[in-house]
Amino acid sequence: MYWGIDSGSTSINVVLLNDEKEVVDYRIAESGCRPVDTAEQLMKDICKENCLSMKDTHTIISTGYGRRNIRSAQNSFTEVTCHAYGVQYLYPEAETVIDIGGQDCKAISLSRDGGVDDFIMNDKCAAGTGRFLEVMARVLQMDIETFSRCGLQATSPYPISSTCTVFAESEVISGIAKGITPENLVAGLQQAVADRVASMAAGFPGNVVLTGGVAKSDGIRQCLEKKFPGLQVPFEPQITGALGAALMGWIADHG
Amino acid sequence: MVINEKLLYFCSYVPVEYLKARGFVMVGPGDTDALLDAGMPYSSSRAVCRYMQHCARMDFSRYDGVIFTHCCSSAERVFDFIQFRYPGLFLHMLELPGRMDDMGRKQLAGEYRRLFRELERRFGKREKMSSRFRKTKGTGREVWLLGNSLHPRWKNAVQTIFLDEPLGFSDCSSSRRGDRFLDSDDIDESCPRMLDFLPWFSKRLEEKRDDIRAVIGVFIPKCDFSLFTMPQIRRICHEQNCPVLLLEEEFGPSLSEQNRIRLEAFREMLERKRRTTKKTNK
Amino acid sequence: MEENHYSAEESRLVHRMLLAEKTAKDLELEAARILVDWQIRLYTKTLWDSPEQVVWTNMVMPTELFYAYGLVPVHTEMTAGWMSSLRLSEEYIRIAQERGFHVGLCSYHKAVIGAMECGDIPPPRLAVFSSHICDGGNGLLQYFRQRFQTPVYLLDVPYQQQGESAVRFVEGQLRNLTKFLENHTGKTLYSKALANAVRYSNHSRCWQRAVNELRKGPVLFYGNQALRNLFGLFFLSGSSKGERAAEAYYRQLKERSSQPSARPVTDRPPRRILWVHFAPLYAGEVMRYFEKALGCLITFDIIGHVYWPELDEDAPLMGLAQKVLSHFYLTDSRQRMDLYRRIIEEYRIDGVVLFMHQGCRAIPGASWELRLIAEQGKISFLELPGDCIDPRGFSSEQVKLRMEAFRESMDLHAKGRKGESYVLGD
Repeated sequence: MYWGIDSGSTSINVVLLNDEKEVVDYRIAESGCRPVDTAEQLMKDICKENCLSMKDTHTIISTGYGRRNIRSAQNSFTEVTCHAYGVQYLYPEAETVIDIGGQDCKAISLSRDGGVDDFIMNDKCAAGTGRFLEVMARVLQMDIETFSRCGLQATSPYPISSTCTVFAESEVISGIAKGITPENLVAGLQQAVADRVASMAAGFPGNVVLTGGVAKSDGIRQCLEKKFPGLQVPFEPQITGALGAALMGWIADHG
Repeated sequence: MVINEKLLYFCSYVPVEYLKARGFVMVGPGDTDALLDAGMPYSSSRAVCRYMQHCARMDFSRYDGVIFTHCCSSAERVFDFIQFRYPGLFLHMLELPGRMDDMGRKQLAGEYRRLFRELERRFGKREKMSSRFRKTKGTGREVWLLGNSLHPRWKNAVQTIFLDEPLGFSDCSSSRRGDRFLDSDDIDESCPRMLDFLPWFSKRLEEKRDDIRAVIGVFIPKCDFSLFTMPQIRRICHEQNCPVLLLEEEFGPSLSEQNRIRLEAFREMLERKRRTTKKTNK
Repeated sequence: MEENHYSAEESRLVHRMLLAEKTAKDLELEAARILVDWQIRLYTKTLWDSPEQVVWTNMVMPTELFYAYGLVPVHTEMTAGWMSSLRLSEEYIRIAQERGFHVGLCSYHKAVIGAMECGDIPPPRLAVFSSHICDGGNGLLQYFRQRFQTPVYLLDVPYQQQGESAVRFVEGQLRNLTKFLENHTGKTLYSKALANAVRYSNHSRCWQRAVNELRKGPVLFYGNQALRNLFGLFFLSGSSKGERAAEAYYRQLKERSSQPSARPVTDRPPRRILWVHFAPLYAGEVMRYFEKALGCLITFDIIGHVYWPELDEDAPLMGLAQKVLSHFYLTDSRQRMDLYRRIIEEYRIDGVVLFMHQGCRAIPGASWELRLIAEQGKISFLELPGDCIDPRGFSSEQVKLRMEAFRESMDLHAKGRKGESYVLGD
């Protein structure tokens, strides 16, 4: 059994691969105050669900911001490397990964022979990340699921020009005061995120896979599909990091 | 004759070893952690580059003199402020040529003569007391790290990430450009402020391509010369098929967590490329 | 990197400038109309039809030598200013950022880079920049040379040195510059042409000083026009057109000085403002609000200050070297503060505004000087953070709020509230 644990800022994701390099199961949970305990519990849940024993574990590989805290991991890799391997497993023809997480976003150019060729990260500014969308959803008094679909009903997206979360919030409030509909505001915000992400990934090759929790947002996906025709999103875009970590363990054993 | 005056300096164009050999205690921003909570008013200091912003917070009352280098507008503004705030302090602005052609070299030589003259006027005549500067040699195949000013502890932190890869540094703290110039009338290393920086970088990378495994460019926030040249560094590296990582980092002893992740990811990338090359060569 | 196809017909900048041509005749001041007409022709025709005549340069580089050679200087600041006024800067900045230029780089430069990268401006064939006041000069030269193989020349200007050796040093570089221009343009410098350029420059200087004298009296026009258009006079130093525009500027203001009805109207009792640096060029409405609704009339702008001595017609290169070295941001703080105090006194300034353009190091980096002057002189001072060229992130409401607070502080001061200083900034 090959475990991959992605200990991120907002969620813990666990993936289990078998000896045949097949995904057995996966779990996603909020990080909470004790991400290490959460990871252990998720692994136990997977074992129980699939009638497996932790004794059959070959490797546990961790990734994400909290990767060094996972005591049971034999090794850790950065999420850049893990996302690359995870996406290549799912989409062998992929050329670029765009990962939009809770607190950062990154673009990774994939190497033909596996792994990373180049990467760019934005983790110094909330704009263009899940945090930006959470803040705006709060301003519009929506939960994140409603927010993610709301923009699809827009008739005339309200352009948000600010690149800063705080200023963008002010623009949204001004928009509300002007009577702009929530749908048009949300569409404008989602477009702003898409623009920022696309700008970061400009110059990266075209066959793009979108990952991260924000990939679940229908509105963001739609905006990015216009920027990157043929954009693909995995069945569960949050687990590609953990999947890549599990793969790193499998590769270490099998060469 | 009083010796052992403490002189503060900020740039590798200051001939540190030559001045040490003349009895001065030379202190750079990486040599001391003593900073004031407030120095230059915030609205002014936030406009200047972050390296000069850091330097502006040093406790100038501990030093007998300060040697600035005319790198940029930020250096000018901090120089003005220190000149106004510490009227009795020995202050010198070393002019740098924009290009190291014959005229530029002549100008720089003249500037060093002017510096020594001013120091003599203020602190008295000095005789040389110790041996000359020795240039450090490269390690062979290495990851080439270029940057503005890098704190020694920051460099150590990066070295711990690249344990299996020797790092060659061309940054403003380790390059000792002033000493090299006085030693041999030439500097074989440029910096982002110089007009010949990009041609020099491109040529050096091409000539030593077999020895340079990868390039890491580290720049201080708000250093305009770096902001202009970094995209070109990336382009030159792509043209020469050299892996490149560009980082923005504050001057200081700590490696930020965001940059630690980038450096680790870059190291992982290099390791994979090395494994792939080995497999191909078999 | 893909190569662009450069064509005036496809250039968005050219299209918008041709539209702007229609509104140019509505400009209040004749000097502004002359300048705008010239600039529109520059960007819609000269840049495309006669690129061999064009030399890219920056604001502080003396232009007399270029005109003496029959060359046409194009200034990066003026170019970015037009892009901002025409609402194109945002797009060009986005393009530059996609090419890897950092968010923190000055938007003046990013706008120009972005326009060249997308083909809306042809690449520079020749570039001559001065190193002083703005580090972007050096940076842009490196970019032009690397990206477009443009022949470039940098005038190295030393700091806080005005003595003979410094003048000789700069003069020597100007002499080398003449060889550079000859080599790259095939043109010869005739001493008569240089003498003419110096004469035009001196005459222009005279008129501009006369204008500045007039501005010490009643405010004769909304000063935002000086920030938007009239600083363009400096870009014509050394040309006959520049002399004509400067003279027109003076004559019209002279007429107005005897016609109170022609002066600007305000909704409140006017306050006299010294504006330092430029203003956001996409926010004309906010600047109109400042001057008209709030009654804060821009009485003088520091970029209009004539800081250099008359050029020596017998030693023109030495004169130009002295012009370069006499910029007040090359002097020490005390001299600069004395200059500002003098201006505040002579122009009877009630309040000072420093627009802290994001990406500028030289002028916002010295804001502590103005703060000190304001505190000592008990006059109102406003530090206004913003961006002259990039409209993203600009909040007109936030800026107006600061302007209103500034106006209130001046009113309080006028009522004689002693012991308080009215310094507004972050």
